[in-house]
Amino acid sequence: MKHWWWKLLAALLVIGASLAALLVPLAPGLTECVPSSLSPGTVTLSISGYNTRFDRNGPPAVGLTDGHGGIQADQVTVLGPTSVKAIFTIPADVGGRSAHVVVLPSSGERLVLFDAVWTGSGEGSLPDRWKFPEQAAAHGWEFPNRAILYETIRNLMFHVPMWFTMMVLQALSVGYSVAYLRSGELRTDLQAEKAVQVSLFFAALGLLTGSLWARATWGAWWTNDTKLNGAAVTTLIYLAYLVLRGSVADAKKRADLAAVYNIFAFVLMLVFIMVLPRLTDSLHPGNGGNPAFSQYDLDDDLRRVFYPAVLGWIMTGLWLFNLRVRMSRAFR
Amino acid sequence: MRNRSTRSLMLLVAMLAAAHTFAQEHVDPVDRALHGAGKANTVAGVVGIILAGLFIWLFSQDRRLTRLERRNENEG
Repeated sequence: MKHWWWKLLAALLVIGASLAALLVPLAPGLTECVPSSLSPGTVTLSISGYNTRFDRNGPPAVGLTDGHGGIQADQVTVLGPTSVKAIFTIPADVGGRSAHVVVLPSSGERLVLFDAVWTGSGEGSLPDRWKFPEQAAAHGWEFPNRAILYETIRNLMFHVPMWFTMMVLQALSVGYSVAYLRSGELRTDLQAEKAVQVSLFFAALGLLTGSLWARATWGAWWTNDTKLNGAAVTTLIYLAYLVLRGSVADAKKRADLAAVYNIFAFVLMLVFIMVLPRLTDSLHPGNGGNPAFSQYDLDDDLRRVFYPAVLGWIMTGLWLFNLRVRMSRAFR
Repeated sequence: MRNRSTRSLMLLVAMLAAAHTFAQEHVDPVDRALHGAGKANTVAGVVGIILAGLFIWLFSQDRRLTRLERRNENEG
């Protein structure tokens, strides 16, 4: 077998990244706070955590902050490793805004449940009696615990590489199409076709995995999100590429038509997946005007697994493409 | 080919048997490896076996194809 080393590398990257994606623990976080609205006087909040150890090293500090001011709980009772009860005295005249619940375990983490409570019917902000630390203490290797996502953040290492692989294969395909238009060699036309075929396999995996992920986070198998519809339209455009090929009998004519169509298809793919979602609002991170891969979307703990996963899957996609091309040549 | 796979299968059985005798002495190592963190390790092990199997299969297809290509070259 020729050039086996990069295939072995692809396998090792995919397996290694997949295992890390499953095994790296999720950082502790807060999941729920009851009740969700406060009234002046004494209020008891029941706060639930995930992956937390409130029962270790003494009770955590609990506070409320609304962006203007903050107050600390008068009394904190630990009910279990993931459950804590905090008693607050809410001053009169506070209200009209949402507040974050902050839990600070003695181990140095900073757990925040954003906009967890509504401060009631008054008009003032919370008094400026307490501030939570700007920076959390350093921690070991763990994935960030984000509201809505929680454990599903691991899907980043499986779902997103499918789309990256699809795009690399389609870029490769358009490269072969341009090469065909320049040289007229049918060899490059075959390569362009096989690259699109394999890219559609990854598009199908991306659509299916995305749909499952959307159900668990956004609450529906399919939403009217720009990126979702863009990905679906792109997939249809590339399916039409294969239909177009199938409808022309003459090899030379088929290659000419397909190569030109492929260039349009590639540009549309870039517009639908990379450009439009950035111009409008999208549920996907990094869209709606924000740059993708900002520190907020993807921190170093995720990058360490995400980049090897992307690289490994792209190489696997290229391997499958290589196999498809060689197979159709061998059986011709 | 068949001879080689039989041999590697026997080697695997022998290795498993050896691992089993070791496991008898200390009891814990395998247990400890598989049961940490809510037994998620076991799931990772299963996923690892499936992915490794898929890639081994992919390698074997690649090798088979290489043989076919060589035969085509010799005939053509």
